[in-house]
Amino acid sequence: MTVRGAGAKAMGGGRGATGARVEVRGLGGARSRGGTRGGARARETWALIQLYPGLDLPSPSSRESKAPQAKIRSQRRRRSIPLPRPPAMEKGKGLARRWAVELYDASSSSSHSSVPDPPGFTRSGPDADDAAGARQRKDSETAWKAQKAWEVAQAPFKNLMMMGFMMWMAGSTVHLFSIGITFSALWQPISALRSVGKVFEPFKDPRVDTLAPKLVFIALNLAAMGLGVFKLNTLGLLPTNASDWVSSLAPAQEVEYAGGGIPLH
Amino acid sequence: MAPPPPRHLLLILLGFVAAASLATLAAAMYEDQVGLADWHQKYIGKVKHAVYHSQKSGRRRVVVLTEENVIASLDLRSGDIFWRHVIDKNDPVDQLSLSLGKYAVTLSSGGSILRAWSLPDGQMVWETNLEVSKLSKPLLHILSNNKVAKDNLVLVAAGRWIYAVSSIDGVIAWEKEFSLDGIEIKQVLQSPENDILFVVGIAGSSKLNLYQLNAKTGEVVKHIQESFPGALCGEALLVSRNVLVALDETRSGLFLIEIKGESISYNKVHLSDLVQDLSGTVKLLPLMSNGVIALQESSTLSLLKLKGIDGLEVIQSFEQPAALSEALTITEKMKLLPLCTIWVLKLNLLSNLQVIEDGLASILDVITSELPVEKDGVSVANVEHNLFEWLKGHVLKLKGTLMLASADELAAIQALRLKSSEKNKMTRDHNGFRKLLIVLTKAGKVIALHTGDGRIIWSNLLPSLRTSKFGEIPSALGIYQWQVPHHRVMRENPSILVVGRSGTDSSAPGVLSVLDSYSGEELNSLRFDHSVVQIIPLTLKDSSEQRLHLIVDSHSRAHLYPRSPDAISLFLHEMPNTYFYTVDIEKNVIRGHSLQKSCYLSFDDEYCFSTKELWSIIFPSDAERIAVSETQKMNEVVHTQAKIIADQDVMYKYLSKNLVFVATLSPKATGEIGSAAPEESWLVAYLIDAVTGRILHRVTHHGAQGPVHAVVSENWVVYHYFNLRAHRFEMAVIEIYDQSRADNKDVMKLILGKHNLSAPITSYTRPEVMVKSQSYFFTHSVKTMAVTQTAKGITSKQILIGTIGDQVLALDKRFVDPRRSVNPTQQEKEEGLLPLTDSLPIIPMFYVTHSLQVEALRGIISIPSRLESTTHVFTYGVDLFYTRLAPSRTYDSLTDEFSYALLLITIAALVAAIIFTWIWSEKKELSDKWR
Repeated sequence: MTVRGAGAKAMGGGRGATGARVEVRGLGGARSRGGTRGGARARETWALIQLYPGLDLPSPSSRESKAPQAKIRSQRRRRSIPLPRPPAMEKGKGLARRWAVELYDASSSSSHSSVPDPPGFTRSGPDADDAAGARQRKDSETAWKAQKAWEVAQAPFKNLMMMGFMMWMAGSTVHLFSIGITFSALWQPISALRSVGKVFEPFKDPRVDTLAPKLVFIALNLAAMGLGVFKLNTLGLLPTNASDWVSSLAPAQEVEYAGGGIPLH
Repeated sequence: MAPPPPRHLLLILLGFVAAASLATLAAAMYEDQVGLADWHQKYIGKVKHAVYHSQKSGRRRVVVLTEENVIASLDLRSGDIFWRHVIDKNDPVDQLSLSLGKYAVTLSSGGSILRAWSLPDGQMVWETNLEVSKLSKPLLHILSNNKVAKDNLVLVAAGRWIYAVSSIDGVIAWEKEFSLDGIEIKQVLQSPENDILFVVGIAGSSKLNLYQLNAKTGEVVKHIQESFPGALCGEALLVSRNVLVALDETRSGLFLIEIKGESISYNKVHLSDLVQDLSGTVKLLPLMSNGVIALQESSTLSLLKLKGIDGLEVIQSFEQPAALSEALTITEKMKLLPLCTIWVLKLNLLSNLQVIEDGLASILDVITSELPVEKDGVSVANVEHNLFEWLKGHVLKLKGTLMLASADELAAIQALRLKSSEKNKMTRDHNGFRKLLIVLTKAGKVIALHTGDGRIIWSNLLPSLRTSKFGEIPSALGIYQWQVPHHRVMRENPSILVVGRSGTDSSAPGVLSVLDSYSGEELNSLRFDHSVVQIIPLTLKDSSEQRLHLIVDSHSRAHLYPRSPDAISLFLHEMPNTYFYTVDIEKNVIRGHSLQKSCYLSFDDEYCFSTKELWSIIFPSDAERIAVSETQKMNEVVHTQAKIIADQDVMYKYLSKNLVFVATLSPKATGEIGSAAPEESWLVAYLIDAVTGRILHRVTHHGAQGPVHAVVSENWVVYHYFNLRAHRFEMAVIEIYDQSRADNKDVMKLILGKHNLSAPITSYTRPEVMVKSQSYFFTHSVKTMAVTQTAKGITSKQILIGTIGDQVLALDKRFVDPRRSVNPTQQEKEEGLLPLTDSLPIIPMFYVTHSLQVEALRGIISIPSRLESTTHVFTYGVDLFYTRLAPSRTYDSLTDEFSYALLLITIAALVAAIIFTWIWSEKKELSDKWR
């Protein structure tokens, strides 16, 4: 399931629903992690629609049942509570774009301008317990960071599997494809190891322990490099045999010299 | 019609696959590449007999018989060869004559084979076998002016027999055996007017018999016998109608014999009365002119006029430093004064044949020399004459590459490529393609040829090898590198050494001469006081870069050359490690010798060394006879001692310059194929260390017969013989590996250099060798074999085989690899090992000589060029052929066909495209920004 697909679905839903306005906005200037989050949010919306199969967005009768949900989401967004990442999230997906899907409730948006709030409804109600919310927010952010760090640390594992498969596919003869794969298998871990600090920078937090994920990350990358070296050896490009060291060894000098042959007659 | 079964399709597919796989092996050339690097020159050899043929109409031509056993018809004006036949050496052609102006008649194999060749095109018209005793000298005489019959009779006389053969169809018209005991026919003469033949025969040594025969039937008309006081040598001439001139046995007197009806009267004339200072052998030259005879001795030719029977007088004598062809038969009746005619003819012959360097058909030995280094300050424009021409040439080439050229332009391109000035320059080139081929001919002439087009740069008939007045015939033995200047004496010219012998006997004193290889001038000449039996170039060089040579005389004494104190001090240091061996074919022995300081001569000569026999291998002569002895070429370069085989394993080659391959044959196996049964013929191949005499390997091939040809290179030997059981030729390979080094396989030790692989080796440590061998059927009979040599020895080798068809076949060494197996494993296939087949393939593309033939091919030599991938191959026989080979293709340079113009245009177009797109994108960006 892709972000774009999700967005389109949501839009389709919005277009069908006359009361609900679905706004799909490209925020531009992508930063990958934020983008992931935006995408996640869109996907969440989609998940929501998927969750309620009975939810018939196009029909006006289902407006009431959808409205509160949308409202909660919008409030959450405004408070910028970090959303839990869906488990299916993959690093690097939707890197190019950053998407934000805002679902405005038609009733709430209209209440801003013309329609007064109903009696007993205070708009600033939820802001009352702000301190408790902040603590909770902080906790969840730490948890998120730790989780994120672990995910990043484990990411090379999938790479490793994929690399292994590609190497197996490339075969053991030296040709362009196998050489390309082998060298990319060697280069990727090296570049990843060089930028290990940068990778874990976003999760830098005094309360988050990034050492263990870092070690796992390094270990996995080293394993990937080992795989590359192993491949290099299977291709016969490592001088591990005696033949590699003697192939251009000049003949030994001879002490004696004997000439002659059949005498001239 | 039913569709063909699918198996056919499969077969076709398999065929394509097979063809494709073979295509990768072949390194042939395209048709338009012929003549780019190679050249072919046709020769006939030294003329020993010439017959002029002058028809009133048509081109004047001469039919010649040469010492190389070639019959050729040449254009008298240009010297072009109309046609040419190289007759086998076993069938020596002795006599040549013309008949009816249509046929050239030759008599060969001691008078037993008579052939007639058509004059215009050289086709053989007929061949007749005659039974004659081979001991006598046969005579060929063609009756002229036979007005009665339209047919000319060809008379062959040998011993007591005389045959008359029709010149039209070769049928024997009549034959006559003279019953007189011990008679030998010495001369057949024809009386100018009537159909009477005079047959002069000598019985015993002094009885002259004169028979008069009827030319048409062979009946004896008259028989006269006369005893002479002195013996006759047998040379006689019919000078006039009834006067015979005969040389006596000592060749110092002439008998003038007059035949008058039934009786003979004679008169003896001493030659010393007529000609002063006689020297050498006197010969009578037949001149068909009334009353004039020509007398040839070693240095002069005298014309004598007969004055009745009483005496002779000298009309003219010519000093002739150069020898006249042995006999000039003038078929025409000369009405002119004979002396003029001779001069005209001689000049005619020489001026025309000078075009053909006759010595090049009898090459003994070949070496190469570098050309002079190019002087500084020669610009590109100078070299290419004209920049515009250069550009035009490249544009033409480009057109050819892009297939835009018309037929005329294609021809122009081809012509441009063929006469590229680059390849014929007289300076050294970067790739080492331009070299001088210095050849030594049998006559002692040294000739330098340019590898670019084969033109003669210089030639020098060495004075020391020229026939002297004492009658001894010097013989040239070999040509060697004497001085190849490198760093220290870079400014000096390289020089070559020619060793000869002042007589034909092996005990005759030797002669040495050193020549400048740029100009051919003789720098130094020396006459030895010892004989020359073996010449051993050593690996040592003295301070002036002169190579040391050991010359062994017939008393097994070794003499060191050059005679300089520097050389002797250098040699004394290396003397304990210098050995030599002799392969005595007659005694069936191989002997190894060491050198000792003292020389038992009457005078003190520090450059002379006595020798001591160290070892000998005596073959039992009733079981084995030495057939061939081969060793590695001295200048061969081997790149590595390790051979990498499948699964990265290593085998260490047994590399020794002292390895000698000797093949012996059972006495019956040395004869003709078919003369021995398979049970009683065998071949034994030996690998012998020449220092210690140790036999490293011995293998017997049962049912094998000679002739054996072998080639040794690196650690392998390839030899060729006939397999009597299989009725086919076979080629066998032996590869020899050093087992004592085989355990050097520890990578760590190799990395750290803790191995004994580069330690000097001595033959006195007992080598453990491992030998692999294999044999294959081979289609061709072989004349000679050689192997390609490259500068560094990295390029794979090709075996150059001179086939019986006088062509050169380049067979990849991969085909003769003893590790071939019927089902090679995957790793072996990756290594390039071919599956084993019972016979070696001969693919037409393997022929180095493509469509040409090197008539009477005798030798092939390969000389490395400076470019590792390429080697020079020079093939000689009666013809010469030169080409360049790249056994593994030219992996280290661009080919000649590479179009630099196309490359330049491509680069220019790309640069233009980059600039254009950059400007375009800039503009677009700007306009985008303004929007």
